[in-house]
Amino acid sequence: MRRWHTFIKGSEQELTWLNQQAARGWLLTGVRGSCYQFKATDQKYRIFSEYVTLAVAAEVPAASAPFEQLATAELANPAIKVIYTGSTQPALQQVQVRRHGDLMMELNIATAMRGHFLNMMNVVLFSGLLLIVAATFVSQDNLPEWFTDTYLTLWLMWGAYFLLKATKIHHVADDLRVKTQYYDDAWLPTQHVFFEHLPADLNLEDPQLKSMGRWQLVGHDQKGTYWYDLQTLSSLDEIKQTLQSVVGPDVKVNVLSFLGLGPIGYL
Amino acid sequence: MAENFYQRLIDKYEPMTEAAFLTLVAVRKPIKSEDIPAKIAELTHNKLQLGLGTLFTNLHAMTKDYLMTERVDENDVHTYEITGSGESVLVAERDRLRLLSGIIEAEQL
Repeated sequence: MRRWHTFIKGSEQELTWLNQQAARGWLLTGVRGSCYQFKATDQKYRIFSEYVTLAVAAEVPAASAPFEQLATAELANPAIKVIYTGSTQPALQQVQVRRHGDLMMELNIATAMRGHFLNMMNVVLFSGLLLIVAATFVSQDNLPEWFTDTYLTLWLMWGAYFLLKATKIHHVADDLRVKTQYYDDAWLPTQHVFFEHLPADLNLEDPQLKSMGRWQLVGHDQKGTYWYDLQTLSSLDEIKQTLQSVVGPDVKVNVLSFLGLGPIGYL
Repeated sequence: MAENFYQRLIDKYEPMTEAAFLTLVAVRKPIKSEDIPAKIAELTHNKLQLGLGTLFTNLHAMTKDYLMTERVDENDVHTYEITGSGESVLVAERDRLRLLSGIIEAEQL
């Protein structure tokens, strides 16, 4: 049996669900992305999930009584493995089992997942837009109405699918922030800052710039046009005013708050 | 010099987590990795157990810090045994727990 579910890997919610499946006679055999594979079992299993580093994962044996390793899930960001073990030993069905639970790790995974889903949404919306523009151009604006209607519906639904997934994970990440009290890399509005005639890269170590928020260089051209993303709580006017005093009156500063999409690299 | 070395390890591991404590106690005599869960069940009278990931995370970290040694035979059987550093950390933890236990008794908690 296969089931698709978006969980934070290694979280309590996921573990509870896996144990519910085990209680119904479905034992986990594999995890791939959001897809969980199960096989029927008539034995009573209790499932455990733990985070391990890649080095430790290589040392964990497939079976070490009373546990057997059921599945692993390797995550790229953060680079860890989640190992899923199970036991049929009666003594272990109720006993307290110390597992390496880690809310900070869950938070890191949640923010990475949210970023992934938003990036996917951006990719779908951008590529969908490019395709429809290209198709309109090639057909010399003679696309059948049924085609454009179907295309637009599917395109927007696909984008909305990733947005919904990101929103769901965002709420989980919010809960984890409250539990961990860790707000250091919390989401802040991303403002897009453009400079014209800027002679060189901004010194992002400058205390005045640093105090504004988190900076990221997006790109620049040979003519001195620079694009930075700034994650900040400052208003657009505040940003512009502060930056103008840093770069001088010769540099033109434009600040855009919203480009119509979730910011790329949203984390 | 040796005392400083032990002290660094004691500072790193104190106060100990239950998982680290149980792992270290379980390897006081040479023990194969596959026998450790049973040993922990025996030590805790089946009231506490460590997940495999937690167990191997501790074994990995403590072997790296030379609190225990790991031998691998030709059949890929891993055998762990505590070192002098491991014993020193364990003694420090014993003293800490003894102090707390004394408080519990004195206060009749």
